Amino acid sequence: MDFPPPTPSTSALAAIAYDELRVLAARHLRGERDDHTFQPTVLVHEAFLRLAEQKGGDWVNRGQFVAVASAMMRRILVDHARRRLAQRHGGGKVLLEISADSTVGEKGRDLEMLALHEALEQLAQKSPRRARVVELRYFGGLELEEIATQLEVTVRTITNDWAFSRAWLHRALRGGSATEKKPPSP
Amino acid sequence: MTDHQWQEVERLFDELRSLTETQRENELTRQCEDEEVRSTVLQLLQHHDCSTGFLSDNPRQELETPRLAPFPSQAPVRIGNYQLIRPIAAGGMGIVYEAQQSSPHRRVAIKLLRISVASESSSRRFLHEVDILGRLQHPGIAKIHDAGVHEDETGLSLPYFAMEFVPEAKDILRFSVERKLATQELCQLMVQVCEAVHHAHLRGVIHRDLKPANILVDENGQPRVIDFGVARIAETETAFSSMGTSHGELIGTLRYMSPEQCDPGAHDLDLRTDVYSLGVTFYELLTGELPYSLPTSSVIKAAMVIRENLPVPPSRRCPEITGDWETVLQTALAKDPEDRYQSVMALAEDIRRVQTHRPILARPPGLWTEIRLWTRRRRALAVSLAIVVAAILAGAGLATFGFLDARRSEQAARRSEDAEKNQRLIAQQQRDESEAVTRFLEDILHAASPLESKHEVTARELLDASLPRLASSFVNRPDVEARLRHTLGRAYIALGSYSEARKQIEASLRLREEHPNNDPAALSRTRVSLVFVRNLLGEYAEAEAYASQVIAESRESSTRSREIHAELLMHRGTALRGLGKFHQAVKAFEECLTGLDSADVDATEIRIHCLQSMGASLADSGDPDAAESPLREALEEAELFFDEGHPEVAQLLGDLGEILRRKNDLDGAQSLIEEAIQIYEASLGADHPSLYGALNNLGMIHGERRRFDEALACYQRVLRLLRAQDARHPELAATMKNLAELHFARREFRKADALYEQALAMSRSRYPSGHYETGIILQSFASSQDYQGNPEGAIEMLTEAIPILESTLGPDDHRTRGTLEYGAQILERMGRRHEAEDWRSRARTFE
Repeated sequence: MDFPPPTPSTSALAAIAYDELRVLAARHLRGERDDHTFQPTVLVHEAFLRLAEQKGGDWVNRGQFVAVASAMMRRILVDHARRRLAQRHGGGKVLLEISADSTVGEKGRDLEMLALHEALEQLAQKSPRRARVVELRYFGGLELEEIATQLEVTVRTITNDWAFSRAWLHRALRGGSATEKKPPSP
Repeated sequence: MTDHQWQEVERLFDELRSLTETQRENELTRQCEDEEVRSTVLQLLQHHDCSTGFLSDNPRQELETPRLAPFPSQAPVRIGNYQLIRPIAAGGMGIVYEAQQSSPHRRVAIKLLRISVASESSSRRFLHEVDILGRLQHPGIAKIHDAGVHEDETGLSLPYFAMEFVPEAKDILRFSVERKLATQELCQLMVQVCEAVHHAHLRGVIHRDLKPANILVDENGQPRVIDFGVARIAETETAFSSMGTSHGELIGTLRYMSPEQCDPGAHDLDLRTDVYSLGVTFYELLTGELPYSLPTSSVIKAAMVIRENLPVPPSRRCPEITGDWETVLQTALAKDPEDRYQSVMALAEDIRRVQTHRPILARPPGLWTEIRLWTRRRRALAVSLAIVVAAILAGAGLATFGFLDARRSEQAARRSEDAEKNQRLIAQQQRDESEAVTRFLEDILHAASPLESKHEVTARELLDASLPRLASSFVNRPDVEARLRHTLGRAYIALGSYSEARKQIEASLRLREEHPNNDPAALSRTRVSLVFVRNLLGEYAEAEAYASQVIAESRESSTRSREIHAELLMHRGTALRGLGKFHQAVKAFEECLTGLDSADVDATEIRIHCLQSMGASLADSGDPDAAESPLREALEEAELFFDEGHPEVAQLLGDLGEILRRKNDLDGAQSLIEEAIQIYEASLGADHPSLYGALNNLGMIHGERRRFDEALACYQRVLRLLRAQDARHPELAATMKNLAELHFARREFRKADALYEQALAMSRSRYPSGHYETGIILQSFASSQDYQGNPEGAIEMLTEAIPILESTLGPDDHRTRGTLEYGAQILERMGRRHEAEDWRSRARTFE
């Protein structure tokens, strides 16, 4: 009897995506790579390529994959930031300072990551689609056109969404009135 | 902010975004009166103007690897107050030295961690943590005397602590092997370890890294747990990226880690993680092996195995570890902490109980729990998978516990001078068998694990995957292979893959016949299955001949089983029915039922099936009234015997529906048949060949009501189902004929005739000559020919059809007589009066 080719459910895809991402992220974080920075969006893309290369991986469509993976990446990065902050603070859990590496800059980045995460959560309550656009673009590295295809709306809508979300997040992260932070006009 | 306000904000933002500041303010004043909305929009627009570049770069992570202090190039001579003597052990976390303390004068073990504590505060916290550990006072826990921070030659601050030195200490595994401890002594030791760990748990300290290397036993046999809480101290990032430990070390540590420790999204660990790790340790102590074979290629995969795979049953590793021991280990190793012993003392209690042969407190997980666990990951197909796994395990059960038949052991005993020795040999053989089967099972389950395949595994794929392994797994065990092939064959039947089923059953039969030493009952069962599957494939003549042969042979045999004999009679009846020999079929079914009534066997299932087949045959033979009573009786029994929604119930409902159809109660027929289809689809899936009868009959109801599209859909489904089994399945002929009639009714003559031709060819080639289906098709084809103005052709067909119908259905059957009447009309129209008279009088002989 013929069985139809496997069509992955979203949850199966998510499981695969998550595993792939973790493998890659762990490798980066363990320092198995030469480069000194890693870009999660590159990582997402790399994970996609790895999957697509595998036998039977041709069912994976990039947009579909990134849509799932971007949310995963966000989770991984936020967890990562949380854990590092916990370490730096002792966090009631781990009591060791990791050498002299922890700089103010790094801590700032981690805090910003968490702040962004929280702001996105708030935005998602009011407008899930706008929050999703940020996730796909910022964590997944999709272009506006790709996002439009993925979410089945026009590019114009996505452009508006992106402008709005960015302003809204900027306000949430940079606080209160923007005028104070406004760079002096040249 | 209300939703309405929010929408306003969004709308205004989009609209005003590209305007100048002045325009924006004008528009806002004009369009919006809500102060809150206005100020929010204004703020957002300002942020918009200065957010260019914001979030435009995707996040970047500075690569940060926790720095690990290198192993000192040369060993320090002194650490704190301690004079180092020699290194004893080195691991991912640090090095252990034997050392001499000057005051008090004693030997200690110093553990120097490889993590630098840079700041004052962090080293203070370290010391505080060690202080808590220092309060653990138990003979089973190595005492921590002291702790400090050692500054090495490169200026790194490395924490260390000084512990009780256990002279001649060996880890528990080595100790038990070297001393060749018996199970009783091992129990003693394990209970002591549990008590020690419990002491720490009561003080809120979880070990988190229990493993043989951390359980030392001194020369007097006193166990001492070391490194309490060290895992916690050294815990970094995640379980996976621990401190740049090497890959191999990481996997080594992983072996004893609990599933929750291997879960990156895990919540807080509690003491049950220690229960699990002790479980692994005890498993290894008792069996000499670990509960899983972990892939060495990838930490992630190894972690997945721990999270998802069931431990290998300990009895497979070591035949003595069975029964309660298995339950105890399985409970300790449960994936879900909730299913484990809730404390190490509960574990210790059950170990004591096993030791003293008292009933243990843990409940055995049982086969179904295991299957449930295993299928939980494959919810989509859990039901069908569970069926298959159960089928395979049932087959394996035969191998595992199926005692060699009494005759064989008797003979063995008689032949041997030393019966006892022989018994041992047989026991050994059984163990080997069970081990071989279990390994095979494990292999196919492994093949189905998500590690090996990236998508959900279907039951069919699972079976298919097992086939190549079968051939190689049992090279010297034809009996086991035969048994498993038979089981697989039955599983394929359950899935509706009849050709594959026949292949397996035939292979099993060959093996059994080539090794005649074997169990005669097993041989008979395999033969029954062969008749069964041949019927399913429509190979009625072969099935009938084979069944008759086996029945004749078994009549001569003294050891025949009544149950098997009845089953053979039943399948023979089905074959006869397929051949259109309805009266003989009914007789066979009657004989089967009589046999069952006199036998004291529990054969309700066969009985139900037999009643059903008898009813169906009676209906086929043209007696729907007589058919009803066995069908109703069968339905009554089936509803008691089977669970709701069993396919056998569907079969009966469908048959009763068909009887109503023949009695022209189309409404009643349709509702019964639709109910049957629903049950089939829910229990077997929409593609199962068992559906074809009900679908075909539903198609006929739709056809009679001139609902052509519905009828067409039914027939096409039937063709698909049957062709998937065998492109030349004989039952295709009847449906093709029905389809032809449908096209005929729509005046699509060319299509109709083509289908008639196909149906006829199929029937002629796949049934023996003179089969009633051929007669029925010819009769129907004739009416189409006649309608299209070809009375000669029609008469030619009827001339062939009538003797067939007379000999199969009987000259008195209304279908035979109707055909004669119809032929007489045609002949009359053609002016062939004599022949017409002749046919008409033949039709009326039996009025």
